[in-house]
Amino acid sequence: MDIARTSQDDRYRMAAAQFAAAIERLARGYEADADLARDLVQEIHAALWRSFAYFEGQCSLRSWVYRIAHNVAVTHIQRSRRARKGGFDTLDAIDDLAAPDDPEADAGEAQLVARLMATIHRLAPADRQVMLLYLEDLTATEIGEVTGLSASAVSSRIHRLKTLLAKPYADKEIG
Amino acid sequence: MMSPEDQARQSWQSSGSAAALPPIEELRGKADKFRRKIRRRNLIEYISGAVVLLGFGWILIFGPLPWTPAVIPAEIVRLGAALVMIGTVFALWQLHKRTAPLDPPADGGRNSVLDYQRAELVRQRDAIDSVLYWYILPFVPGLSVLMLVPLALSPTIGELAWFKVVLKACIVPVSLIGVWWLNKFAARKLQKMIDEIDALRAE
Repeated sequence: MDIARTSQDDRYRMAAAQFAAAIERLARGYEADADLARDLVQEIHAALWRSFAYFEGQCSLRSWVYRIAHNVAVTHIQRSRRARKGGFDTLDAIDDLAAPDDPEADAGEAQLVARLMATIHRLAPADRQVMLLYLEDLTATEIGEVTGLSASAVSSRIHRLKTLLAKPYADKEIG
Repeated sequence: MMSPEDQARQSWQSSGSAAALPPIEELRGKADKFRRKIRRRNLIEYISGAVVLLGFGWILIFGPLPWTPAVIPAEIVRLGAALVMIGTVFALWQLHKRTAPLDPPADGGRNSVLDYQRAELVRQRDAIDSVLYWYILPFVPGLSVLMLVPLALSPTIGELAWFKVVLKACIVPVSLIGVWWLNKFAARKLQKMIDEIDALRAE
């Protein structure tokens, strides 16, 4: 039995089991089209499996997985050339969470998720990555490790994001 | 009471469901597909190069083609063919060396998203910004011999209007300058994207 390969398989299985749901959400954050998002999930898993041939603990497993996933997603978007040129907003330019892509989304938690997703789709790549990672509970340091943004750039974005997330409550849109 | 950001994170993380993990064999198959794609890209480059080398190799060995004007010495045609072949081999080697993209599984985990994207853009910019040296100039000696010498030796050159001579002499250089300019233009666009990444990293 090939020990190196078995180890690669095991490491992949462990990481994939832990992050599968996050990878699926990340893919939907990059790809609004459901079929293309499914393709992107497959692409990320294939890259993740291959990446474990190179993983030697250079960073935490979580940072490694998110780096691979975001790098594959950004490359996927660029390759498909469907990224809207100049059509993205920054977190600073948004005053409120966007209306859901699907106006008939359910109320309550599902509607909040739909609004988060619609906001993510509007954001420029770096801000989109920060928002996706923040929602997955990564710390500011980990977000910096994955995105390459400085600590102050990450923290100003997180501050802006917190204000944005609090707005519906302040406006009593969400109880 | 839960803060709005905690509530958003909780709702977000409980949304959607992970589909079943793809089987390892399927992932291996995808990796093999990636390798096949790279091999196919290399094969296309080698076949295009082989066609050019065979065509000019034929001229080098068997001499000028039947429709080449007899006034042009066969040695000049052979010299031009040899120079084009050398230029082709050099350009193919450089094309292979400079245009292989970064691989997310191999390079994506070691680099942050901005570092990875920047490295890939820099690689593309450098490849097309220097196209003059590795894709255009290598063909200039061979094309000059094959295009300009026949023009200079043409028995009818004295009868041609001056602008026709200039037009014939300039058509290839102008085309090459056009290729160079288009690549420079594309390199400037890539540089703008690199500058945007640098601005983000400097925040």
